[in-house]
Amino acid sequence: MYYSIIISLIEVVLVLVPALLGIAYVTIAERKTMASMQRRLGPNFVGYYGLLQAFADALKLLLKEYVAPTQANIILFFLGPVITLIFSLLGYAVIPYGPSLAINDFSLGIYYILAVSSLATYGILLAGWSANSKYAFLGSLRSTAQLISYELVLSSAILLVIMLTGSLNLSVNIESQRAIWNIFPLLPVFIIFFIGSVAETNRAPFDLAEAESELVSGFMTEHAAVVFVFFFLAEYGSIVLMCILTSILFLGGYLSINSLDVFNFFYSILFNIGFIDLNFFNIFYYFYKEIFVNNSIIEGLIYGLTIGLKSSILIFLFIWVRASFPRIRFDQLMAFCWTVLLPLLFALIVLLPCILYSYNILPVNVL
Amino acid sequence: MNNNYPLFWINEILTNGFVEYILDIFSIMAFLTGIYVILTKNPIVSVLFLILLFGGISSYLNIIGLNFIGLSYIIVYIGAVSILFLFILMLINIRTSELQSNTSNSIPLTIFIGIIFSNFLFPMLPYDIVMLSNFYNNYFSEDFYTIDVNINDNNLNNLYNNVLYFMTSVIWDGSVIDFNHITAIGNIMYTIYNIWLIIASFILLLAMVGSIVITIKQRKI
Repeated sequence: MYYSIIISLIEVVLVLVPALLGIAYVTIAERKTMASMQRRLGPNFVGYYGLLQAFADALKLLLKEYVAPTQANIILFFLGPVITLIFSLLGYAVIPYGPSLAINDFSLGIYYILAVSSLATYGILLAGWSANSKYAFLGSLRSTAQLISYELVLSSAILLVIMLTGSLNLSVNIESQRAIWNIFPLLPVFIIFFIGSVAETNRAPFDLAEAESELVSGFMTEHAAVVFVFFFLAEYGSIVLMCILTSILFLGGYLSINSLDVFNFFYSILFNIGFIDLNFFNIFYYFYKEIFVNNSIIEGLIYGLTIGLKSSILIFLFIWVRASFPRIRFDQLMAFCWTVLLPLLFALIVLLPCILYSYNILPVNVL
Repeated sequence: MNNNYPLFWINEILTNGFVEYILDIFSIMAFLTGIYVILTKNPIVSVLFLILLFGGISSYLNIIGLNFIGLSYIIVYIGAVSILFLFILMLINIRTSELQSNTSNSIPLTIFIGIIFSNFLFPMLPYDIVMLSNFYNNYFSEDFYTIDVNINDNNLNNLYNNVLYFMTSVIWDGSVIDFNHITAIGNIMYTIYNIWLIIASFILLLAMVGSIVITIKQRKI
C-alpha cells in the first residue's frame, strides 16, 4: 500500500517539475517575444541569451523579506496565493501527454478541470480582500466578476466540443479527432474559446484585474516575495494549462498528421504510376516503418513533441495578443461577454445538436 | 464502486484497500465546519467555513467513488453559489455588522435541528451504495438500518444478494457494464424521471426570465 503511494507521489513530481520548468521558460519567452515585437533586446544578461533570467528573478524574490500589511488578515493573506497556485497546478493531473499517458486518465477529465479552475478564483478573492487595501480589493472584485462571467463562455464552448466527441474524457476527446481536428468543424467556437481563455487567465487585453494605470497592480498589490512568486507561477501555469486544453479540445492534442498515412499516399501514387524501382522502395518503406512507426520510443517522443508544439503555438498567440491590442474598459469587457459571446454560443448550442440529429451523426461512446 | 477511474491518488490508494476512517475524518470535518459557519462573527469567515463544508462533502463523495456528484458539488456550490455569497458580502461594510451579532446562543438550536433532521433522514438513506462501516453505522446501526452489509468481509456477493436501493427500478448499473455515473444519471433522468427534469428546467427558466424582467428599466412614456 505504501509502495503504491510512493509511486503516485513520484508520478506527481514527474509531471509537476517539468510543468513548473516550462512555466518558468514561458515567462522568459514572453519577455523576449514582446521585446522583439517592441524593438528591444529583452533580458539577455543572465545565462546565454538571458535563458536563466526566470531563475534569477525567482531567487531574488525568494530572498526578499516578507511584508504583510498591519491591518491585514494574516492567515487569508498567505492562504490566497497558495490556493491559487495549488488549484492552477491541479489541472495538470488529467492532461494526457500521449495515448493514456496521464497521471489519471479520468473519465470526467474536462469536468474536473472546470471544477478546479473555478476553485482558483477563491485565491484571488481572498488575497484581494485580506490585504485591506482599496486597490487590491477592487482588483480582486473585478477579477472575480470577470472569471465568473468568462467561465460560462468556456464551459459552453466545451459543451459544443463534447457534443461532437461524446465524452468528458480527454483521451476520448483526442482519439475522436483522428478523423478531423475539431478546429475545422468548430472554427468560430475555437475563436470564442480562445478569447474566453485569454479573459479567464487575466491576460491583456482583458487584464483589468491588474490594470496598472488604474489599480497599482490589482489584487496582488500588497503581496511581495514568495507569495508574489506563487501568484506569478499560478498565472503562467493557468496560461499553459489553458493552451494545452485548447490544443487538446480543438487541435487534436498529441495527434500529429499521421506520417504513415502521408507516406502511404505518396507510395500508392508512385506504385500506381510504376516508373520507380519498387524493390528499392519497399526496403525504404520497411525501414521507415521500423524506425518511425513500430519504434515505441520515437512514437512516444513524437506524441509528446506534437502536443508541446501545438500548445507553444497557442502560448505564442497569447503573447502576440498581449503585445498587439490595447486594454479595453471593464464595462466593455462584461458587455462583450454577456451580450456578444454568450448569445452566440447559446445559438450554437441549439444549432449543433439539430445538425447532428438531422444527419444522424450523434456520437456514441460506451466510456 | 468506480475504481476503474480513480480520482487522483486518494481514490486509488485509500479505496482499493478501503480505509473507511478517512470518511469519518471528512464527516467530522463537515460537522465542525457546519457548526463554525454560525459560530464565527465575521460573515466572510463564516462563508469560508461554508465553503470548507461543501469541500468536505464533495471530498466525501469523491472518496466513496461518486465522482460526478462530488465534482458537481464543487462546480455548483463552491464555484458558483458560494463565490456569489462571498462577492456580495465583500461589498457590504463588515466592520459595523460584526459588532451587532452574537450567535453563540443559537448552538442548541443547531444541535436540535440537526438531530431532528438526521433522525428522519438517516433511515431513508440508501446505505448499501455507500461503504458501510462508517461512524453512524458503527455506533447506531442496530436500530436504524434494516440491512447491514459489511464491505470489509471481502464478500462482495453479500452486496448483491441483498435488496439494493438504487434510484432505478431495474438494477443494471454496475452489474452489466462499468457505466460512468454521468451515463447512469442521464439514463435515469431522460427516461424514468423525465417529467421532473422538464419541471425543474421550467422553474430555472422562470427564475432566469424573472431576474431579467426585474432588472430591465421600464421606459417612461
